[in-house]
Amino acid sequence: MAFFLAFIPIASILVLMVGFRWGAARAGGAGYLSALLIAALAFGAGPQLLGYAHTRALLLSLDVLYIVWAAFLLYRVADEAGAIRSIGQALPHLTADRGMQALVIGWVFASFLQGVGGFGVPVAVIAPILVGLGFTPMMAVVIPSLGHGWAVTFGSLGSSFQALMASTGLPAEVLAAPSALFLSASGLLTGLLVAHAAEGWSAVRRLALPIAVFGIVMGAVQYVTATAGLWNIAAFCAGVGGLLFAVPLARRFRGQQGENGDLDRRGLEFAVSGYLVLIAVTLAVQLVQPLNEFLGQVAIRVDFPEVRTALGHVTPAGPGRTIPVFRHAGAILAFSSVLAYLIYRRAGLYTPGAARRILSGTLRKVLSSSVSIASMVAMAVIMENSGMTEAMARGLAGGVERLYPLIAPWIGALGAFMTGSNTNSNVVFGALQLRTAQILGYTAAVILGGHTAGAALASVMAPTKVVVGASTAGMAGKEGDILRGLIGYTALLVALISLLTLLALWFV
Amino acid sequence: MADLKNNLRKRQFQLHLLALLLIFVPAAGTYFAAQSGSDALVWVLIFIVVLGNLVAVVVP
Repeated sequence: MAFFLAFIPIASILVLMVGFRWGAARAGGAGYLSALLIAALAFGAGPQLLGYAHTRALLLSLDVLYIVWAAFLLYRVADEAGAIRSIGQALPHLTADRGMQALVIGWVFASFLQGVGGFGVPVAVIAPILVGLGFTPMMAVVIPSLGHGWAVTFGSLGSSFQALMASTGLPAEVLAAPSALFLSASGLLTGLLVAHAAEGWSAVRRLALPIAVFGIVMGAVQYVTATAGLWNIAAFCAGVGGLLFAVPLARRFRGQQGENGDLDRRGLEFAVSGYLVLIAVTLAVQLVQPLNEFLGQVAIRVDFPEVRTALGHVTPAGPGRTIPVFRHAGAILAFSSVLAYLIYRRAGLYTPGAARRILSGTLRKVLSSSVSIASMVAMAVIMENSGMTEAMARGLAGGVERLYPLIAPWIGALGAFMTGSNTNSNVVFGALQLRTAQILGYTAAVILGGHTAGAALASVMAPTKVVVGASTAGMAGKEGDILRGLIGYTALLVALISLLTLLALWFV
Repeated sequence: MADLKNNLRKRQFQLHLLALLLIFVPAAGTYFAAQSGSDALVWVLIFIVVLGNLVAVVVP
């Protein structure tokens, strides 16, 4: 009974988003309301516990939203200067080989865009480019959707990974390695699937070498960067690494036309220059110890006392999520945004009113997702503090037992598909997966790595993202076709993560 | 009904901003209310957060 009651908030989010096509903000609000009612009426959560839970939720939300807001600000700074457009215009000139175009634009460039932007940007930017190159609208959406999934967890400058850390309380040192390993492995398979989607098995055979090179380079860069503590720029660096290899390698696959024009190197260099600032600032803050300590002086930290429900579930005393205001990954992004803005402005790349458009565009884009994150985080914290997550974890552990490592990535995938994002899936299911892994005695980091990888790969199929992709490729109303085009590939990728999770647990 | 939905949709930005403020601002106060042992104040503040979530739920 406790299991089913505890499952109601999550079930209500899933049913409202999928069955009733509600947005994440609406469904998140409904999930919060049901969690609050059930916690108070059925799990014995009193006002003290709920009061502290709301403040804990506020800190967690700010921790995640700091990155979400700053990441999109940086994207808007570059986009307003025409940087994204420049890269998009330069890449098609590299090659006339359709399979290679799909790889470079739909996989490598999509991964780069996910690294810096996210929020549906890769498909929105790339689908029209591929249509312009002669791909069918269906493939123009399927290819970049598939191509950027492996970069989602560490993409958007680490938003989803931050959410995983926030919801589980585990640090990057524990979570980064398995998450990056699983995603890097799926990245390689992603390349094969992108080539297959573009031109079938012949493209897979013909382009095996560049697929291996791009996959290994991007996967290795993401793994090394994430495990070195630079997880907020891991997918971004992977994208940059892939692009650096794509330029010379794509030239070797020029295709039959040989009239693919000249690459606008100057445009490409200028476009990337704004993002080089991000690398410089991140490295400076992480590696220059005096600077790191100076920026870490101001932090928001709240100590919470022990609380217990009327049924005896105890939440131990301890600090909530600490937010180092000027050393936070969001702060690093904000500094980078200001510096990039100044560079682009000095170069005369902005028209009058650019600053206002950047700020208002950022606010409009992130507001709805901010509401959904705030509601879902509050729901997740109330569930955790009131013992609802514990009840669900015990029910799940009893139900699946030895199959759990295989199922965990599918739970993440289901969460991302239903809630529309890897971040939401991590917020809603992170603590549940952690507690279930602990109860069953599995290494939590591996299970959570499998969870977030599954969520990342399946997030590309979320109806909210598919709708955006369909609208940019002129396929509005045919979202079902796109979903059918994606489902086989996505299932293969999540199945790979399931197997890797099982294998990893044998070796840990 | 359709008019109401259209109006809500047109004001989506303002309503989401209002929802976010109603969710965040009282949540900072619940800590102090809980610490001072004032259950009534905690419930009032939580009620405001509930209102914020209700606003989020009604915006199409």
